[in-house]
Amino acid sequence: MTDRDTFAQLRSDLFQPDRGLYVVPIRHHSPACAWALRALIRDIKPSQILIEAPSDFADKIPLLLDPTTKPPVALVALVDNAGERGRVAGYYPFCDHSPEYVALQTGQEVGADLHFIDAPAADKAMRGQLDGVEPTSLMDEQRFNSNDYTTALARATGCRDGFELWDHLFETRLGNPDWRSFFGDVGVYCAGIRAATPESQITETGDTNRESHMARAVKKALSRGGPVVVVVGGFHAPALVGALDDLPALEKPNGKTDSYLIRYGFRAMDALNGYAAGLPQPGYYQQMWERADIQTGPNTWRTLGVDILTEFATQMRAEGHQVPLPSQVEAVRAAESLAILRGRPGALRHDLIDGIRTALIKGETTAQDIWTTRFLTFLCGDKLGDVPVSAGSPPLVEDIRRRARTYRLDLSDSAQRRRKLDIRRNDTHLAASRFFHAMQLLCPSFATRIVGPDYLTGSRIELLFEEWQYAWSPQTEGQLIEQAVLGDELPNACLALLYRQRATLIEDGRARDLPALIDLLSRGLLAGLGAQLGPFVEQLGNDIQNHGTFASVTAALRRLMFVLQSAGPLGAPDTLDLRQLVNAAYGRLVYLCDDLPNTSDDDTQERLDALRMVNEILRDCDSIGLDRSLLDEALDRVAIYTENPVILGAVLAVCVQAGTRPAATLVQIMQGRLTGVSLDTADQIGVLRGILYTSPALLWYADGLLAVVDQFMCNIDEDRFLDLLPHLRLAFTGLNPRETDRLAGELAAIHGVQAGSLVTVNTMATETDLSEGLTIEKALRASLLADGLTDWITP
Amino acid sequence: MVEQTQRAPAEIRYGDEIARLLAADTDPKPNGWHLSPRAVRRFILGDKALDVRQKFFGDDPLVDRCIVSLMGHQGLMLVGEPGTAKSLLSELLAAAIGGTSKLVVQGSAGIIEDHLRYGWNYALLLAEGPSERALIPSPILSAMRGGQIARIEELTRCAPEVQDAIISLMSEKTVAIPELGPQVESRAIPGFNLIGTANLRDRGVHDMSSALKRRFNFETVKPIADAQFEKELINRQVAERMAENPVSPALSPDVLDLVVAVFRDLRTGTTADGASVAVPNSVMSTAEAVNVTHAAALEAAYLDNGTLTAGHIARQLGGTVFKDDPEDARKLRAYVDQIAKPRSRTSRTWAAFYKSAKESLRD
Repeated sequence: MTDRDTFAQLRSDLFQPDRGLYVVPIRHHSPACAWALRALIRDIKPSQILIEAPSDFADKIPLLLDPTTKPPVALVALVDNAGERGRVAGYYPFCDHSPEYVALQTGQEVGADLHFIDAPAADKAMRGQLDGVEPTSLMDEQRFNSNDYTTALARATGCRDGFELWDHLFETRLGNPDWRSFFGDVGVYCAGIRAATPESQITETGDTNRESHMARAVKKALSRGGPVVVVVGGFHAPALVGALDDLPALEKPNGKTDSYLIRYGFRAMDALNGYAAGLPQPGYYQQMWERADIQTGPNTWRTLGVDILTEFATQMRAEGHQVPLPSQVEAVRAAESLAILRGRPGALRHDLIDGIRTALIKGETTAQDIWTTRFLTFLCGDKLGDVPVSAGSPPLVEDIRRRARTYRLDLSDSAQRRRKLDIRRNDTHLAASRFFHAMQLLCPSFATRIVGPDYLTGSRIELLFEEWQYAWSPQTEGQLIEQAVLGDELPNACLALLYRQRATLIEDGRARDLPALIDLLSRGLLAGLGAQLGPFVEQLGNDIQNHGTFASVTAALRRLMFVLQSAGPLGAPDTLDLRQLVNAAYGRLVYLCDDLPNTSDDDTQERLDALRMVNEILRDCDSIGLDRSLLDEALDRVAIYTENPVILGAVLAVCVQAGTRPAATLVQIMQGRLTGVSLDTADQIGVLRGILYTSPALLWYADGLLAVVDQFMCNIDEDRFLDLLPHLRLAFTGLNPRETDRLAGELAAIHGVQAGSLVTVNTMATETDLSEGLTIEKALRASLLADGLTDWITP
Repeated sequence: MVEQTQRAPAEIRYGDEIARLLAADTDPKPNGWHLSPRAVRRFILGDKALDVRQKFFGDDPLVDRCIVSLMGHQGLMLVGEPGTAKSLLSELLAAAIGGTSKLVVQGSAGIIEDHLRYGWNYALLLAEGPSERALIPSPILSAMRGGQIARIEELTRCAPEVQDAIISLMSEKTVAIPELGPQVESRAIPGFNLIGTANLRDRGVHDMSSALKRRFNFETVKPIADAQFEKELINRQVAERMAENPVSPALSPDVLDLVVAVFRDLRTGTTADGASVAVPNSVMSTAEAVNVTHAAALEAAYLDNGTLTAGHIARQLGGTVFKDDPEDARKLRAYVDQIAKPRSRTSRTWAAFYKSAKESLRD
């Protein structure tokens, strides 16, 4: 039989009124399928509707049909003992325009029995399709987009991918009452995809087993009496239309599954679709569906496109982005002309995206231009669903309770309790500490740390114990239910929250705020996210690589080196590549060194602080495995060109300390600066300030340096000294008391006297001085009081 | 005698394809168009049934958007790095839509307004006074009269006042010729439009005013995304150029890999293993990669022992690409130190590159 015959056969086999069997091939979240399916159910009035959803979700059907359930919602399966991978979560989302959801609703309307007929969720988990790291979908549709058949057909029809092809062929028929030919075409399309899929792949991915499961259910339903409507992903339709005899034996999944109905959101759904299933940007399809629904007839494509582009422009203007009216008109024109060029009844999703690109971008674009990104976000929508109270606690809450039990934390009532943890020596305690840290992120009201090291500010990090106070209140649970959409387990919810906080930082214009970003990373590490922070670390690496401020990058590198060297609570597992991040920061620091020669006065102090840190960084380079010569070379290179005397002094001091330049250079430069005549006062002392701030010890270790300074001081007259005094004070404040003492000792040695004798100012007052002083104060007070100026002396 | 040209215009080169498309063209045509929009698409992206070759690769939706832009009132501005086939695309579009790709103004500092409007045959002008016969229409005026597509290459190289003249041409779609009498003008007939190409990154170009930008739809033509395809292209083009030389050093696969890696790293800002790289202002296009390799091959052939090594590439990179921008020199240094240095520990090719790049940076 040729492919053509197979297809024709399938077309006639889908609907078999004599057997009472109607197999409906669909694509998940397709409004066109949902619309045609509703028409079909209303026409046929079946006694049973079978839906391709895991059979162990069956008890959730009443919840889905509850009047207070508002899509988007999702069924979540948590599968334990799923092979080697432990516990994994799979999502099965529903939105208003999901054919499965519409089938349930319309089925209830016509009084049909409703059944879920796919293999249990654990079956899929066993196949290794769920990896537990990213949110995973229980709907399988990759083949709609990456298949030889779809690729070739897209090429032939001038579509760029399977998504555009689907919209082009099928979504354009939304609202067409002829469901027979519509589903016939979907069936043939899917049969084409199936024909291009190797048989071995179908078995490997577990499809054979699932189809056998579904076929049994269909057979059983037919024996109960029809008509039976079977709603399945188009790929499986050919397996269900035949005789349904000699079905292969079922493989029994051994995983244990818990399932939940949770509220879901379009953003989460879009991300989920990115991995596995349905159509992206659900907000767009929702609009399409609502329109068709209101008119209960064919979609008026023109209005849809114009309305979407208008709403987008309005929203952009509200957010402060300019969309000139002529550009808006041009976007509509371009989208509609593209639709005509591509042979469509109206502008579809890709035409609209192209229209926006054509009309709004004035200039060269990079990989993902800002207007396309904004438009895609707009098309994604941000609708949130709702579930009835009877849906119970979401998996996240269950997971947190389970973990709390492991750490022997009492959550049975809302009383306040305390817990002391030995975080350095006891691994279980460390794990409990991570749990508290994670909870602090997700739900700050749950616990507070009373005592313990604070790794974020770096204070008291020598402490060995942490003490926490915690209470499980109704608010805690409420907050966690709100957060349930972030993930099903504490770690992945925390991770999602970190990403959200990062996004908020960026929205607030703080994308360059490295301390805040590193704070987030540290919080993640404290919460025990470890290797899961990989992508976060990668992004942080990019942020640092694009950062332009010497001081910020230096500080960031210092902190990251600290994190890298940390063990215990802040320690990162080997699987998290922090080294790459430190390398990136180090590379950027080396690069930014070339900015040092042009330091403005405003930046001086900031860079001085940073250069002091560079000393420490150089010291630790080797132990961390950084190529020290790069930084040495860079500093050595910029030392020559630096004009700002303070920075010059600081850079030279770092070079001398590092051994890349001889101390003599420093002496020579200092001599030149101090004895030069044309320089202004601040410049004269600048080099000294730079040295004293970064490496004061050079003053007595570098041969001849102190002598030069001392000689200079001895030679200037009183007036000159008073001129210089403010700058000298500024320079010498860099010294700590111990260093000041040392300096005094060295100077005394040069001049052959006792250090004490250098102090010439007598600070001792006599008894007479004191009494005179008191008398004057008394008189002054009285005088001020008489003048009504008491405010002057009351603090 | 058969006349030989280096390169015939697109409508001649692909004349037979256009003829076949025209014969089979049943789709509706906008007023004044030679081919229908769908046939234009097929001309550029290929049509097996009519034996039409694909001429532009990598971004089909871009071609759709270009065609649709030209159907409207806006002009089409193709931007992007040099060597990304912008001019080829504009030539193909002009040939397919207007039937000719020859109405072209080559933008440069020497272009004056007359080149966009009209000039005179001065002998005739003196003999007969202003007349249609003495008038020399600019390519743009010709396109307006013929309802065709005019092209302006390298628009940003024209002086700002010349760019300003385009604004009024684009909005009024008419050229007044007062010398021929009051109210004499040539109004554009349907089918007329403008395709500009511009380079927004080069220095020494004049920025477009926003008034001018508003009259164009912009499309960015991207460099080749596929590394393997780029490698083949470089190899082929270098071989073509070296064919003219009596001595031609072999381009070893290692060196070719290195060229492609260096250019892609510096162009995209990320290495294949994910480390990020500071992107220089210099153009790191495939065309430049060919230039560098070509220059390196010449150096190896005539000034060295005849073997093309990565060292030659490094030296030419400094001279050919990173010319005089200190900021770029800094970025190249960062690349050499942080990316090439670690690679030089495991690969002899990279070691040669590192050594000679380091030397040329020191100068």
